[in-house]
Amino acid sequence: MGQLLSRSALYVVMVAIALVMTLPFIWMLSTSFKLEEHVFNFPIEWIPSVFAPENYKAVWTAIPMPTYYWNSVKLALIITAGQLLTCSLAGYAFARLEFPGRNRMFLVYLVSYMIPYQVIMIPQYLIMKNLGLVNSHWALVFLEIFSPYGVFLMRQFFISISRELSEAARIDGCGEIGIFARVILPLAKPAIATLTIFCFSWVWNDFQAPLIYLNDDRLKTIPLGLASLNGEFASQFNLIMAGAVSSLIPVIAVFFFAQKYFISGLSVGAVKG
Amino acid sequence: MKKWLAGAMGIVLTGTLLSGCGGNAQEEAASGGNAAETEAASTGNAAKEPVTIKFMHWSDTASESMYADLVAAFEAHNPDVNVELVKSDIKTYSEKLTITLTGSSDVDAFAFKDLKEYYRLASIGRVVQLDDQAAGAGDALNGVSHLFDTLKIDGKLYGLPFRNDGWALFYNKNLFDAAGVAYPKDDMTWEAYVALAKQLTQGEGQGKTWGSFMPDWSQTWYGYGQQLGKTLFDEDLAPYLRGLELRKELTDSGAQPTVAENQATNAHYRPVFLAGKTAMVNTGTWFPGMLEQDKKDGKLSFDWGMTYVPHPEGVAKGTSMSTAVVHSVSATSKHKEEAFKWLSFISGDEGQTIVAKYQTPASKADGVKQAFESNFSEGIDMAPIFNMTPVPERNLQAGLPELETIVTEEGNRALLGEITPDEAIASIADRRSKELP
Amino acid sequence: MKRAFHPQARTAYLFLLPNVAGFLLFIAAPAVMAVLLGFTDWDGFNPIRWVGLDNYKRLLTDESFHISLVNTLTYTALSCLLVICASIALALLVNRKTRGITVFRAAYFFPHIASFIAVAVIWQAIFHPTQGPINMFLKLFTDSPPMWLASSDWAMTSLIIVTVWKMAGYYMVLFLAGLQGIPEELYEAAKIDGAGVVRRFWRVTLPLLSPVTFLVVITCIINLFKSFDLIYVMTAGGPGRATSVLVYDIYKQAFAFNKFGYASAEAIVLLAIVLLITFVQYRGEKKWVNY
Repeated sequence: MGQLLSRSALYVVMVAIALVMTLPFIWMLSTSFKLEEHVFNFPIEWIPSVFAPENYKAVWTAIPMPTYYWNSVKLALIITAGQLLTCSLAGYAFARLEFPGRNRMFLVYLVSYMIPYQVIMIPQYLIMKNLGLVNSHWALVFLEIFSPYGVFLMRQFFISISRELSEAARIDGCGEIGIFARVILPLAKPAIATLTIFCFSWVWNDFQAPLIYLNDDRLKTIPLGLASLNGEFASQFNLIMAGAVSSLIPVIAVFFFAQKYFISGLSVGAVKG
Repeated sequence: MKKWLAGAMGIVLTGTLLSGCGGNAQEEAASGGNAAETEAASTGNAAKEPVTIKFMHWSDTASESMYADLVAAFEAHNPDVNVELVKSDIKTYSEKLTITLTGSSDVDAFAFKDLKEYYRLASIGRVVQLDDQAAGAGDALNGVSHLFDTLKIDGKLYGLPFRNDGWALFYNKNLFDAAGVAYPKDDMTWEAYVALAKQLTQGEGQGKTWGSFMPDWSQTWYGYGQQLGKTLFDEDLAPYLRGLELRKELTDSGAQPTVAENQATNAHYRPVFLAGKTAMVNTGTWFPGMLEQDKKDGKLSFDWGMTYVPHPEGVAKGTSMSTAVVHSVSATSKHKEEAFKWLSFISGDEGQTIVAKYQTPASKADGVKQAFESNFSEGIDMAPIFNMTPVPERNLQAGLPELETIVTEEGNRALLGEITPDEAIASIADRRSKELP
Repeated sequence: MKRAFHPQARTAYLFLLPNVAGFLLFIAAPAVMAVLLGFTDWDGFNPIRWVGLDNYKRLLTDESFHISLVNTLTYTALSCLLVICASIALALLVNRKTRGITVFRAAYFFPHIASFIAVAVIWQAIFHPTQGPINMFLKLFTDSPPMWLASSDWAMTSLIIVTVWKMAGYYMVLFLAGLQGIPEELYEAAKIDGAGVVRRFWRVTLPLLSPVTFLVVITCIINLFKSFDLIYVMTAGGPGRATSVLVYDIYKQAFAFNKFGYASAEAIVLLAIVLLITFVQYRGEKKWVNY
């Protein structure tokens, strides 16, 4: 009885927090089905008094949404895959291999991660321009896949995996690449899932880099589309939110897909206690 | 390892700095020479390869079709020049423009969103000085040449005016009729305006109609001083104090929504006016075009009127702040002649007639005026647009971007009630002396 | 021991190569350039002129810079503390295998993926001085509830609230991944020793979570020092300069005033502060991080 009570209390708390956290989403969803003049009615109308699904049609015809969608999906997938590859390799080296200059190099990574993007934006742009990469997806790919944050994150996870496991594999005659691919990576599923979620949602929502590097409509991504909706429809938040809701689905899907590895990933005892 | 690292970084760095930014001076000189050569070549050999110039502008539905029409008309006259449009959305346009123009750039010409941006880039020589070319264009630019003086920085012209907007007072005739109040006069002081706004404010909460709605921009209060012929760079800022006090009285008395409320709801004058929630709106002369569009879309359900913007006591009626959308040629363009040809075409009579179909043109030529007037379905008096006496909305001199930031920050604090208007003006004077270059 | 390095060094460089090559060209090089620009008066176009320490001297007397510096420190310290507490709490809450738990996890992570425009609009409405839900409620108790975003005294608090809301779910994901790695037996053993829930949290969970906590504290502080978007869309540094943080000021100097050199100098000061804080933490890593 007591357990049931505390269980339901727990659910009440979790639901309450969930409501607070998803408030903007609920508002976005509800606004996206409203008429323009009802958007800022106070107190907030959570269920639209007049239902206006035509907002979605208006948005999807106003900008080349399918193209933007495809570009976003393509970039998010390529960058996430690339970041996972380069960052887990480098993270592994920093965490588990001994080599001269390791700490200093890692420090350089950390320091560069601390510099605000707004500061290196211009020098980065000049480099990309000299390489002829402006107005191409390559600029965004190269900008993101070498993320120092990704390296840092992977290193922190790799470092916490028990050394005995690698030693055992080494005794079994496994090479370093084998240890990495067959022993460590499978254990690092939660870290990989985490980086996937972070990276995907970052690329999906990133506005500044695509803004700077992409000029042609055929290359633009969803956040740029949302921004042009924002300019186009001035303060017509019902339409802007219809665009925003349309853009969210893939990120939510990736989250659901990746987060299940948090549970199945680590086998008991793999982490040093 | 460390040495190798430092060395590699040094090489990359020097290379990029040199090719990206440091080399500008030479490049500029070289391309200046090229422009002359290109010109010579193009007159000498008519059958040469067409040149493509890149033109950057911000876009929304209206301006997109406008620029498309302009390009089509221009290319019909100039088969040897193609115009490629590079567009960006309005909110982030300045940022995109700044980055694109850092170091050298392959964009040949571009639009400025406001004169502050124009000043910012013209004052560092990022755009080409156009005096000689404008003079050389002869009659072609007669329609817009009256604006040249307002665009000169230290006596030099760096851009061509494309659109020209002043301020006007717009009102909802139905609300005035319902309240039994006469329509606003074309010759009204700001004091009379505030009194009128109070008179027309009715109701509470959801059903409230406001007497006045102005955007939150600082021009809505510093315009008072501009109309008196002063500038924010003047030693004595007293003339601006009255403007700020009146602007604050509007919100304090409840005749106009407060800045805090507007920020919280992202309020914009257009939907507020369309919803019949305000009797008067004070904004730029681009507004009639929007209203006409709204009428076509069936969103406008009442009659509206337009008259001259109110003015301080003792200032002639029809005195209004005025500002222009300017186009300039990039200093690193390799096709400066062609870029200027394009700009002078769209600022010339034929181009401006096309512009007039969409937005308020800069040209005063008769044909352009008629084209603009023909957009409006019934006899709305266009005098406030064509007959106003312009005073500059911004004074183009060193420190303009910094000063505008200071004025906005301190003015907002006064409007939010954190400091008094007196304190705000004193603070502007104080910060101005410290922060301006 | 020393000889044991070298067999691994080759492999290590091989592993590092793809990342380091790109990192040097696209991240480290621009960063070094930004640092160098801090000693110039570059305006974004004209040839670069070295001005030595002039920019730094000007920073000493620049009031906007001082205000932004204080704002940055306040914002970072308070937000970081609250974000970490909130995210650990959320992680503990959803670290179970009840039905529908993934929905809750997604819900808590949601603020991180919501677009900034939506976040700004909804929170501005929530903080509405007269008709917003918060003040509607507070009016039951007081006649003059705070003006939130429209008040210099409360704007920072409002921003911190939104920051915690937006970032807690993000770090929850990290803590959750960490919690999943703590072996169940340790809790069982602690239970047998008679440790209660609270004691188990302090003695088992927190120490074993310390590598993740270390990561979170460092990244959280760095991210907060770098925050820009939220402030840009919510307050634009206002009212007045009440929420102007360093990155916002840097952005303004570069993009509104063309002072790229000066902005870089400001950035270097920011970097020096973050560096110092991180260094202190790194020093302390051995003391409280349990590998």
